Amino acid sequence: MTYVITEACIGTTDRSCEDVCPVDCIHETAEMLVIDPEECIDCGYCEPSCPVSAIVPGDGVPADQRAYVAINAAWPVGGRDEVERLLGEHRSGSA
Amino acid sequence: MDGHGAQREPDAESYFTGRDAWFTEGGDADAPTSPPPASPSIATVSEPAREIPVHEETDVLVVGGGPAGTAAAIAARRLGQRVTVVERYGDLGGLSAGGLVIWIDRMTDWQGTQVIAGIGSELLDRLPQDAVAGPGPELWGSTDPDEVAYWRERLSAFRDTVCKSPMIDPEWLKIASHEMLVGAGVRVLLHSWVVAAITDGDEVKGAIFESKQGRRAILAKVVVDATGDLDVIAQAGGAFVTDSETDGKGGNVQHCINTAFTWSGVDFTRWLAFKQGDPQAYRDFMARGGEAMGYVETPHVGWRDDVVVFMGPRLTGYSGLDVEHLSAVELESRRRMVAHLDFFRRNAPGFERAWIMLAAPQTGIRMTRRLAGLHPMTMDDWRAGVRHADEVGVSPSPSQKIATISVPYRALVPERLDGVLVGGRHVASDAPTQAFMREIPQCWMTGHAAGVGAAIAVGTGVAPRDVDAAEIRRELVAQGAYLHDAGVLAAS
Repeated sequence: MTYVITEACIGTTDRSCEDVCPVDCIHETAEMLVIDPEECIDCGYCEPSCPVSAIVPGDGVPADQRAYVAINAAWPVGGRDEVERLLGEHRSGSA
Repeated sequence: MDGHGAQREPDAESYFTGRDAWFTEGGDADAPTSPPPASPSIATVSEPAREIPVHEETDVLVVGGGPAGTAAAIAARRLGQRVTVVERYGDLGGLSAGGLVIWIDRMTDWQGTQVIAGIGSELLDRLPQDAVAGPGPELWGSTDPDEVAYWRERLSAFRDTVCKSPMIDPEWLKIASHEMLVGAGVRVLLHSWVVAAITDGDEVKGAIFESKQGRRAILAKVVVDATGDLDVIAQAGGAFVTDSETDGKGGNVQHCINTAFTWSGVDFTRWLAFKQGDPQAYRDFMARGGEAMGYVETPHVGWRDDVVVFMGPRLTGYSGLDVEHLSAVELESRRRMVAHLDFFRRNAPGFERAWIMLAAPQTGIRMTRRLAGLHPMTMDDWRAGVRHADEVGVSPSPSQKIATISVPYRALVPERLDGVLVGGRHVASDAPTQAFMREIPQCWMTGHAAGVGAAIAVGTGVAPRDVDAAEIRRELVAQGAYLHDAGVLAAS
């Protein structure tokens, strides 16, 4: 299971991960970056490049961050709009 | 009906007799695991001091016969030194063979120049044609959309560029590695596990290994630690870093551990037609797998279209240095493999008759200990495009936004210990750098450099840290390695 960008990215969007991704599967949305799970090859290059440790392997997503699996996976389905819609839903739901 | 050994072709259902499905929604919490160890009545026992037979004395002792150790041994032997490789398994190639890391990461830069060359490349060239699948040199660096689309699914095109990053048959890599070593005159000791460094103050003088013959010693002028886990340096009391302590970059990185696996009986062409022809159906398949198993690993085609490799299931929160963890990972990885086989046979076009070819005999460890070296490689250095004066290798960069990466000799040299050099995934680096320096080609590259450094140290009678880097660099180029200034060095 591929890597997932979690909540810590919001407000940071450092983008070091984009520079080191060999398959260009990290995409920018309004508030955070996401990893397209259909393109990610699990190489792990991005994980330690993140200054706020927002990138976690799919197997190790903390329980309170599980919503971000679907938020990342929204990219191949509906691109930026779908990611932002799901993120909005998640935040209004958890607020 | 198959009374005389006629092959039975099981259907998807009957393959798993005795159990409806091996995957259980939300995991199978009731599945048994190995019980914890009983509490011992005493905390320690003392082992009596003993005399240990000296098995041999050599010039360069290479501990570990993986990609780094193989390259180191051949390189040192080419400089005329006596070399012995000690390997804990019964074969050579390490993670690239026994670990089923059969996808060899990129050896070319984004323009198609092969920047990881030398002994690793020679090994690939020795594989039979049918044992390697990858684009030919005429395609390296190509951005032709048709070529990119074809090779992308075979992990040989990245960021719209075709690269040298082939899939190989691990059995043939074992054979080629072994033949190349003994052909060069290297002594190869298998089934021998190095358990202690022999030291004199801060100098490593050899190692003690365990085998069916008990403990034996090998004395050496220089030792190359190609264990992947920095075992020799740790045994000698040398300094190392791990990511469980904050190292300034990435902090508490949870490295994944897994037992990778290969299946055969697969029709990869059909699978690809499904995946590419009906993206929504593929997405539904992945979603169903996610619901059934909690996650889905992606299959990659191997060196043939009827073999796939799963480079997971990646498990987090385990240490590659903890034997209880390693034991638990083997069980859990195989359970997940079986769940995947069940799910794929029932649901994935092209996988109806898949069968388990091999679960990796060697656990997939990405990182445990890294060397505390004279000059650790850092993301700051390579993002700034620093070229080191003691450059002994060049790594392809992760993306076109970053220039090719200069690897300094000082990243192979311990801060304090003498008589020992390091080659492999555990060279001195920060976590973002280790993310690619752990790949197979990079291990060939640093192993090659460590072998040359060790042999020159023996030949000139100086400590490895004091070897003239210019001499190492000239020799590396003479042995076919690539450096940024290889042309200049070759002419000198």
